[in-house]
Amino acid sequence: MSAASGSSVLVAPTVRSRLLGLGSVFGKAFRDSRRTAVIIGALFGALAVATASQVATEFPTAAGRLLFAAQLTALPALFQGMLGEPIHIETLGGFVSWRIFNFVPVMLGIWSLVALSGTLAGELARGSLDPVASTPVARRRLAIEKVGAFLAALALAVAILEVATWAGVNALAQLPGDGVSGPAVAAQGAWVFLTVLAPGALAFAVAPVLGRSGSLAVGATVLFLSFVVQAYANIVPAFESLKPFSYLQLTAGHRPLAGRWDWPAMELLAVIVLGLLVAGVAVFERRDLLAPSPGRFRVPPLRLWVRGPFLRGLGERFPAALIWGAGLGLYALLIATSADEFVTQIAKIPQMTQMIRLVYPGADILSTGGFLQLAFFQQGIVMIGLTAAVFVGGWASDENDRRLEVLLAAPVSRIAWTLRSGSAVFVAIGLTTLLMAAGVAVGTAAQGGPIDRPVFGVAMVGLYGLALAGIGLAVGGLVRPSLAAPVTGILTLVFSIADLLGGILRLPDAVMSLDLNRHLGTPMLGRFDESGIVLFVVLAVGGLALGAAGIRRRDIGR
Amino acid sequence: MSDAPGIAPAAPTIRAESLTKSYGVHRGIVEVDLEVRPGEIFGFLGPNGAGKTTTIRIFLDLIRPTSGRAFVFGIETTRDPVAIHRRIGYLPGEFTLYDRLTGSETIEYFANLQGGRNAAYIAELIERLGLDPSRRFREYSKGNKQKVGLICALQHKPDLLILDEPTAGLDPLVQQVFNELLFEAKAEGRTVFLSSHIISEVERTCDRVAIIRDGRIVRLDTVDALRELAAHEVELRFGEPVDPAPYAAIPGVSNLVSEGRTLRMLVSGPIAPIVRLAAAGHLVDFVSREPSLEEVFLAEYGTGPGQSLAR
Repeated sequence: MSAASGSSVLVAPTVRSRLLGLGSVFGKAFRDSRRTAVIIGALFGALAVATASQVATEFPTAAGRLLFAAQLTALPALFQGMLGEPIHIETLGGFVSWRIFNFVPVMLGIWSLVALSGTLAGELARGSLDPVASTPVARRRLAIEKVGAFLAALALAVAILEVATWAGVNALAQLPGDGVSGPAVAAQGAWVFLTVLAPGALAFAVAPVLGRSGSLAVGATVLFLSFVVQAYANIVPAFESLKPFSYLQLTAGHRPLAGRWDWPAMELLAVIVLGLLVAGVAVFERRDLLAPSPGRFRVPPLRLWVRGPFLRGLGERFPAALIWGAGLGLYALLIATSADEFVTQIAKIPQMTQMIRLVYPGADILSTGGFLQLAFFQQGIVMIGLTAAVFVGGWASDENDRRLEVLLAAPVSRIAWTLRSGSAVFVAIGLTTLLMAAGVAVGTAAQGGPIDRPVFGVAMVGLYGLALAGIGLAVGGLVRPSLAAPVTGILTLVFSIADLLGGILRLPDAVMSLDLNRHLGTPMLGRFDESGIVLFVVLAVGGLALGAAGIRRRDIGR
Repeated sequence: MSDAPGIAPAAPTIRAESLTKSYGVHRGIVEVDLEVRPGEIFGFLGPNGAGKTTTIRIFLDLIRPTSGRAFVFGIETTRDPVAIHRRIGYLPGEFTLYDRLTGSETIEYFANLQGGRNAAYIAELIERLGLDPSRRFREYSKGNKQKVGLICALQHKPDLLILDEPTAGLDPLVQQVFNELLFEAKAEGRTVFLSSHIISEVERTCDRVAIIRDGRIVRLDTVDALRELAAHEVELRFGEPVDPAPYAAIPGVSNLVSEGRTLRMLVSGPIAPIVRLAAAGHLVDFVSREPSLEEVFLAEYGTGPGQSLAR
């Protein structure tokens, strides 16, 4: 032993490292997420300012602004996008609140879900929780510090968003009522904070029991349903009974930037979220640190699944494909069975019918297919994109988790492995699409409509998913596997946001044509974009081929 | 190992009382009783799936016993695990740490969680184990990841080291350094609980050993005593042909083979009756080979060369 070992001077972590560095569980967790927080806050802050700027520039007079707001308000909810009630959208604050902030709980909610479902369960599954839990940090404190770090990161993101909104809107304010007060911005921030946190808090509460993937699924389902119910509760009768379960519906009356406040609803949501977080901490503290294995759906133990890379890959994706497909199929069924009632209501308003026909000339919009195009298609393509991201992530895990090195030690070429396992991703997406189509077909048939158009429309949704998966496979093969799923998921969201905001931001056609959503046509109405179909096929097949070529050339295990 | 006469035995560092853990229909451990004394290196031997890691995780309160109790430093593990954790260093059998942190950042993080960094000792450990701390954890080989884990466990000089398969992936030179570190810890009065299935490692370093089989402790004693329990290989050569029957009648004798003037046998338990009987005859040569701990272990698991320990 050297003399140095005789010295036992302990240097305690500094306050700074406890808060921002490696001095504590909180510090490390916050250090890991602060960059994401800044990027997210800045991105949505920039969107809010850009939107306010666009409105201020286009409608500089009170009369113009009122007319614009009246036209938007007159549109049926389906044409307004899934943005809820337009409140005082003639003001800058009201418009930004409606157009941008109503989407923030969904986009940031996904971040919250991923972070809080994995903060303990993910670390447990990876095997890094045991060493931390064996230090003198009590389990309760460990959980509280982990959650606290996410709360701090979320608060940072929301603060950046709100400061940008406050500064931008007030700088651009030119008409009476345009300016927003500090308290209104803070109150809006509180709403963003709570609604973003809600699905993550639920996932955190059930993660010790269901594990990461199970809790992610539960949280994502609640997030998606809450959003859809809030958006469609007034036009889809089937959603009426689900209203109490939507936390977004609960707080739909709290839009401080638009001058409307609902503190009792906010207080109720705060109590629920706090309760979920406390429950999550308590359950984590009491349970064994074992990766949970609840009675989740498993593939039948067939020898079929071990015959080769294709069937193995399909076997891995099969349960998720069935679950995603069943969920999306059920959603499609609910929407389709609400079509008749909606169409009847719209048909009673000739002006509305006329306006819809102006938007979709020559199309039978007052049909089940038309209703599905309006009410299902946009959500369907987002969901299939996220499904594709999950499947591509599973495909990439073979390399990320170093299984691929063992697999490739067998007499299987890199190209053969990539083509076969990548094809399994495509088949899994196909299976999900098939179940979705079944839901649409049953719902449409129940309404007495022809099922061919909607079913072909769902096929287009599936093709879109294949194209996104192809991009993910190409990135995973050419660059690195850890990027495959994030790129697929982020592109899904970016295309969706661009579709929504491209018009407002007046993005050039050349830029907008990069948005895959612009090449989908209106397939539920039987209108297909042939060049779009070719593009999607090329992206799917070409992406898989590129991925195979990339894996053939590069080092394995990046 | 025994305590000096007249001195009250020190309280055990670890004590397990009828410790049982079941995972639903799967067996974990069953009625495990053991004591680890202060300042000793205690080996915990068993094949994969025998229950070694389950036992350790109960000591650390990472999982809770289905029944029975465990005490570390006299503190019941479920009562105040943080007080226990303050005084231990733990290296899990299977672990992964943070891919994006470098080796030095990983060590710093765990040092901070333990209350602070002993920079000089950490530097010494890094040097002795030959670790490049500047690389990211994901870039390390298996052996280097193991070194990072070892440094995290050792760097605060804990009173109790709990090491689960600590030498997995380490090259022989580093294993030697590791053994030195264990003996240094022992010399400083610290305790080591070493779980392993590498028998030579346990034999080389441990004072006492427990053998766990199918979740139950089947042997617990000093290495020497365990060797005594195993069958010795005995060969007797006589000056004239000898009747093997009296030898076969001695308790503990098995696998008796007579070849002219030579008798070969396995002897479990005391060897004195054999010696006495042989001495009464025309004994020319007596060869007895002491069993290794590996043979003890294999005999316990019924895979040795026809050996079976007397129960």
